Amino acid sequence: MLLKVLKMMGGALAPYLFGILLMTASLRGFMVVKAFLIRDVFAWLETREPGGLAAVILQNLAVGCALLLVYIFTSYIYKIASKRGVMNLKNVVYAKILRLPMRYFADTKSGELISRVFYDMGQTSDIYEAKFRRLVAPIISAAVYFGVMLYLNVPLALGLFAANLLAMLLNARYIGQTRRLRRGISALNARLTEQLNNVIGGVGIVKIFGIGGRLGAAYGRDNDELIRQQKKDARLSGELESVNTFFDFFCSFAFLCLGVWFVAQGEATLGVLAAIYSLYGDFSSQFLLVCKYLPGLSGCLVSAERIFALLAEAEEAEPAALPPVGGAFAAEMRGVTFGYDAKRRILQNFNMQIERAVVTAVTGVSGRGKSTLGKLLLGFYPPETGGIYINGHSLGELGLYQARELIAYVPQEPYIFNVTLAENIRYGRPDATDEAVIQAAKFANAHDFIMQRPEGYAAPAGERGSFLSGGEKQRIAIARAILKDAPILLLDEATSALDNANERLVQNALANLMRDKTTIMIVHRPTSIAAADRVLKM
Amino acid sequence: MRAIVKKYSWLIMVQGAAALLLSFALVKGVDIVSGAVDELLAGGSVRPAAYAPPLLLFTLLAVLAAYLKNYSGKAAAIGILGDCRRAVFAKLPRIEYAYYDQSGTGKVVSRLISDVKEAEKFFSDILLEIISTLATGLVTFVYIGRISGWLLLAVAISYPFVLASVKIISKRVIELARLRKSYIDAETAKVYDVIGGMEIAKSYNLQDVMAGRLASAAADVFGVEVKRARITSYMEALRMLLKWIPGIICLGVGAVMVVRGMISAGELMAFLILTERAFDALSGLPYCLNEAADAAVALERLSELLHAPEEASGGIKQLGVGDIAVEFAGVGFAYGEQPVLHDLSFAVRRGERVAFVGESGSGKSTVFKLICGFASPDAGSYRLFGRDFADYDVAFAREHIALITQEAFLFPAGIGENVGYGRAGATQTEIEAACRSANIHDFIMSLPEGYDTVTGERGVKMSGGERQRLTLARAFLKDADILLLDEPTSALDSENERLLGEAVAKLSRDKTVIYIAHRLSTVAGCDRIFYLENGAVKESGSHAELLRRGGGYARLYHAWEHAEEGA
Repeated sequence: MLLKVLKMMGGALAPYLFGILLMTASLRGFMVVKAFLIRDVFAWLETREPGGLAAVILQNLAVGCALLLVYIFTSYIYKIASKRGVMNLKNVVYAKILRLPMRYFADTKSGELISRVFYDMGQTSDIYEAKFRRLVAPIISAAVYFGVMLYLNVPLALGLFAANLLAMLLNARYIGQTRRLRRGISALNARLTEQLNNVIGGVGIVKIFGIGGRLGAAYGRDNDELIRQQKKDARLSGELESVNTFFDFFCSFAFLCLGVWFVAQGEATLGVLAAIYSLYGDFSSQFLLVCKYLPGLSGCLVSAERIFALLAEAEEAEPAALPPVGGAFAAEMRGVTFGYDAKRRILQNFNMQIERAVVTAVTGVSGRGKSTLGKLLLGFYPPETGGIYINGHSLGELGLYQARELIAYVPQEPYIFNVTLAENIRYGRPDATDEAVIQAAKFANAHDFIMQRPEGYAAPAGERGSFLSGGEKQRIAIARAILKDAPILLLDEATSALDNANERLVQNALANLMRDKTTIMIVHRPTSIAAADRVLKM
Repeated sequence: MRAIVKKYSWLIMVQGAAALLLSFALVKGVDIVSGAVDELLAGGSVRPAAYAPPLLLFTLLAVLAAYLKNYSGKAAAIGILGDCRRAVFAKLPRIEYAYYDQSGTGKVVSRLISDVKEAEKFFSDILLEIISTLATGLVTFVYIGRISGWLLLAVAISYPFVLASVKIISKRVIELARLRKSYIDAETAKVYDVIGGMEIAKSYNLQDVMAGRLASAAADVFGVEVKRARITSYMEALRMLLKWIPGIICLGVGAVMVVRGMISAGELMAFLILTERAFDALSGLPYCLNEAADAAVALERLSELLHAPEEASGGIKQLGVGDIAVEFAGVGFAYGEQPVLHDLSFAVRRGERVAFVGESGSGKSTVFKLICGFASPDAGSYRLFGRDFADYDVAFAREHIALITQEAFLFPAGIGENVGYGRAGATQTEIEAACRSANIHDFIMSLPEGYDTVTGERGVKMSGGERQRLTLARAFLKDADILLLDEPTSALDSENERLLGEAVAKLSRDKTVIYIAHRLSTVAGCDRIFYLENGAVKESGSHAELLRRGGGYARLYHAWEHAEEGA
């Protein structure tokens, strides 16, 4: 999995690895110089040659600075490469999301989907930006230190290595346990947060129904469970801390005793002892770092796995191509059966024929699938059985791209993107000229209110069109549909939430749009079918 | 908040004592070794076996201290946070409604979550860190001072470099970090935007356009990252260099002192070992203190929340007498400077069905807030069943009111439980009866999991009308004397409207029903209509009367009728 994640970096991988290797080595080299300074000063103490102390210090300082220069350069290479990897990952994921079938967004609440993807992407990016280096760097560092310590004194170095390895293994045992516990804790935390959200979000209801106490009792139970789990975790981390302290102290003291003995035997000098000791702290912390960051990395890899699962998710599939049917219908459904979930069918063996160049109103009580009809026509969902045809050709034969080119859709709640008004309209036909955009806005009775804004067409629409009123949003959506100039117009209750004046403007705009087009109007109120030539009751 | 911390302060003290013990064990151990070194240099013989028992003792002491320090620290944090969460949750329903109204519930939630997180971090990590650091510093420096005052001076000269090494962060880096954050936020917002508009993106074949928007946002972030990398690489190197300087100073000073015979070589070694450890710990101190300052703000806010004014409540737990369920006399109300109700008077008799009608902003919703006691009138009086509302025990008064809000609020729990919130201790049969009355039972039974179906964010998708009828069932179950029904503004389709209307009509005639009507089809069935304009009752009477009068209500009704037909 890790390899797969790294491979995803593509061209950035080589500089990335190169950067990590050299930045770590130069940094540890710098630490070694610091240790050698101690050794050299102790060595000087034995000779006490005049002026020697300054020379020793300056010499080490110079080498140290040189290593730091290498560090600056290589860490820059590493950082750029890692950020490039992150950007690459994002682009791959974004492109994928755009190709997922609509069902994906309806099944998983879109807010939840996004936050999960963001979380997973953040975690995966974290592998590039930190987690991988944090795991590899200690290994490289430990190797550098071990080499230097071997050079200084073989038995001492071997002894320290063995002790640290043992400590690391003990640590690893705790990690699995801790991780399981933490997972439970964070799930509990999420539940508590959700309950908090509810009591605040529904505070009016909570007050008037007097259910604060009941909710509080449920919250208290979860809270107690959280406390219990956290205490367990605290005990575990206390034990781990004890184990590490033991090794820290035991190794330090054992090392110093042994070292002193070595010095007494003349096998080492005091300077070497002090130098190894000063490296030792850093050396053993490298081992602990591996243990510390390994679970973090594996957590990230779980996220990465989910990202790969997302990337492997089936993309919007082209429907099966059915043989063309005769007849002069703009849109047709034959024997369509469909439900969002298998247990609740919305359409059962449904047939429909929409004539060309007339206005057809689709009516019926809610839940009968009026809006679903439009979504099927757009190929958002494949029907379980039956065929959907546009101008006598099945969606599969046309291909989703071509089929959608033939339909201009104005949904029940018009979606306005947070870009300029002009851009929002232009989404109807991305290569449209400014003149065409303005023309479409005029047709949709949107031009006047757009021009009332100081920035005119360049005015921002706000998040989900929050700078626009409901009627303005609807007119922008209609302008978009006009610009698309598709032969079939699909309107899902285009005037639902408007006041009178706005409604009239929108109606006029629609009348402009419907001329010479096949129009399918989904209406939720029986009174709004006056403009229709045909009525299809569901 | 203070009381909660106090309750667990003994654990924090245990933690402090354990931290001191831990540092003490280290210093003592190093001291023994340094003695051995000196003995060695003096030409004595060194027998490791002689040093082993005391060193082992100190090691065991340290192990014990480490456990205690860690566990007591965490236990304190867990206890404090656990109590704090419980207290906050119990407090939330009791806080004045105005508190939520002013700040917005979303903001209250997000601030609360971040404050609790901040507090948790403080008690479980930062405080532990500060205590350990101080203990290490104190014990170490006392020891060093006892070797020689000059060494302590060397430490004192060095520490600013340690601090500087932590603190060097140029304005440019902060600026870039801010820029980066804003670009990342922009990118996130764009992703939300694109996913939110997925139907449009697909039906208009905009996948490439949208991918381009997102890619350019990602590229903006990358651009800032490149600039940041350039600067941070330099800064890290500089930090490393600065961090070395204290070591060099201490080593130099120590070496000179050894030459002058002021300290022994063993002592120099002990000094170097201990200062390195102490500096390592102390370098984190400024960061910890900064974090602590942030945490202080969060704790202050939590404390404020726990002391936020609670709803005023009288003590009377008995309804007054008379035929009038709700009576407003000359009520005035303002949100801050914004006046909403002026001299509003009306009375609703028991068993009456009335509706408030008016343009948006005329004060309809505020009337409901006042009836529920979510806010109290600034002027005039509000009487519930013949008694001033303020005199009632507020929970008692609310037992007589059921509310259906405009946006049907459902908890993420089973449908049965959601309805069951209407009355504590309601049986399944009663819940089902309420659902039947609310015309929602059949729908519930059509769901695969029936009454156990989970609603809300992660639950089953329900239409607005279905949700509305569920909340109606909840209100029916409560069986309160007064039913307040704020109609949803957005259109329910006619079928749902019919079901809802029928359900309310089934309600027994001794219940008082008060509507806020947006779609005037509801109004025709009401006994009386109050037409509000600018926060006062402008016209009142039956639907037919008001139409005959030809005033504001008639105008509004005709406009609505026209809209219904023209649509």
